[in-house]
Amino acid sequence: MLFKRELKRNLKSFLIISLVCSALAMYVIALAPSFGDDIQKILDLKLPQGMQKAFGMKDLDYKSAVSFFAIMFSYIYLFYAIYLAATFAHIVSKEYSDKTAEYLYSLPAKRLHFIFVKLSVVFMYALLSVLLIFLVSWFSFGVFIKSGYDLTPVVLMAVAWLLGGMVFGSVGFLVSSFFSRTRISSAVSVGFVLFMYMFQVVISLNDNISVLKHFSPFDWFKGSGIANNGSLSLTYCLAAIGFSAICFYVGIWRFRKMDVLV
Amino acid sequence: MPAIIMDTVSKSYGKVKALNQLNLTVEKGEIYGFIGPNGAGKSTTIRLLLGFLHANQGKISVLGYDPLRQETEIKKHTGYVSAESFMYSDMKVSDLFRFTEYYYKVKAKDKIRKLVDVLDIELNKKFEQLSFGNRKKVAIACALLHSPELIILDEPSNGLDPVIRINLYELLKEEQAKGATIFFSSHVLSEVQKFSTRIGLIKDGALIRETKATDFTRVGYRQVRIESNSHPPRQIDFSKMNGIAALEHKGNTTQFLFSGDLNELIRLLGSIDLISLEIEEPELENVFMHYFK
Repeated sequence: MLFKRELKRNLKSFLIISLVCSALAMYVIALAPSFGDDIQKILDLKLPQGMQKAFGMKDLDYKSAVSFFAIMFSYIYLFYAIYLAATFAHIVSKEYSDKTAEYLYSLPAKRLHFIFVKLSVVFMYALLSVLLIFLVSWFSFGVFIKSGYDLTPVVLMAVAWLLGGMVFGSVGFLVSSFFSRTRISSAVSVGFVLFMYMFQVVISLNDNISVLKHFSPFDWFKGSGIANNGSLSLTYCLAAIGFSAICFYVGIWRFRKMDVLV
Repeated sequence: MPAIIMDTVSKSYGKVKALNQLNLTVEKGEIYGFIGPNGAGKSTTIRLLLGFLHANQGKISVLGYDPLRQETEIKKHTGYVSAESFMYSDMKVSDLFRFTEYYYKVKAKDKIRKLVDVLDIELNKKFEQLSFGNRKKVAIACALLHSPELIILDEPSNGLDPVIRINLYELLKEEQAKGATIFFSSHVLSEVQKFSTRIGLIKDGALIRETKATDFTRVGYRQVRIESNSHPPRQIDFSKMNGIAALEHKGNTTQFLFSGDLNELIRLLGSIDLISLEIEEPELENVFMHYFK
């Protein structure tokens, strides 16, 4: 019953993010054949090398449609991360913010059950939205790219969105366990995503601080790396999973122990 | 075994001590009225019983279960109405009933129909469209629909009109007749006195007085405030009158608690040059402090 309610309540934001990102993916793939490797010349003319690197446009072979698609990777990653950070930030804390926690927790089930049900809805939507974006991309490659393409990097990009998105989602969830007002926890969580995105840009522009990229989830998964290597870094994948698991665990622990004060 | 046992329970919010070694026992089948001034610790006590809060010290048992370790068992057999009664504002009242039924694993069609009739609930409105009093009624119905063994209500009559208030207490009496234990907080002395079998007064986080409601009813009490042109009124020696307590003179105002014969008082007051006379329900605390020393 709660699952159904949460599905309905979070449907709109799921549809918006999925449709926006799918449309972006389709648009870029549709543009790929008309630009071809001319895009590199345009980029060299208009954008300094540092900026190309910062926005994941450097070292890409634009003869390949998948490389062209990789330009869009970081933007979809950013939008998806914002979506997950905001959604995870309010999924449980909204009960406290709206003062409905007393009613919900007075029903005969463990507090942990309610938290799991709510989290499972967001996990499901997170998975579905990545799946939808991937399917639309796959479909678009089939329709617009006649010269053949390798689907593996596209699959890996979808995995990277999911893993990277979960890092920010878990931070949003953890942050929400410290604030009783949804507005504050959402703002802090989205602020964190934007900060990390800018952090990644700054790191890319300055080679002296490149060691900091290990602390930047946007650097863990780069479209250019995935398109060129056809693989994801196992270390960063494990780091993303481990970091998310810790944040979710601590967040759940905090919500379980939290006093319900309306 | 008692329905509720709280043994030297303390709870603090930061530096503020909300409960200070509270001891409380509510026997099965009782209607226990829990009264006290605002901020005395009534809501904190109730939230501790349901595991919403974690006590800093002491032991709590509700229906023989520990609220923190066996919360589900307690909630299965308990109905709870919070003071503010917040529920999902975007849901229709009928959907809220279904939602609640689902978790209690009951189909309570007849009970819901009865509660809707008695409490005059509008089923097809969204919760957000309801006034505070109507929200309260929905919360009460949700708490009673599974016929719980223990009913805990925090200021249940707050926001209800007088007719519904009486209906509510009749409903609670019916539940008690079926074997339910009722524990409710209020700051309206008259209703606590009327419907409880036992009354407890909490102040500064500790239970300071406990009495049977019948003992309390026998007292009869009024807060009387007199304003006269002479101060204090020379014609009457209030201190020698029967049933007077907490006598105070401030300027040309005299006030006291009165449990004697009102007719005699009015007759005596006729000899005074009165500016104003107020006879009202007294502060809970005053009554307890002066009559149950």
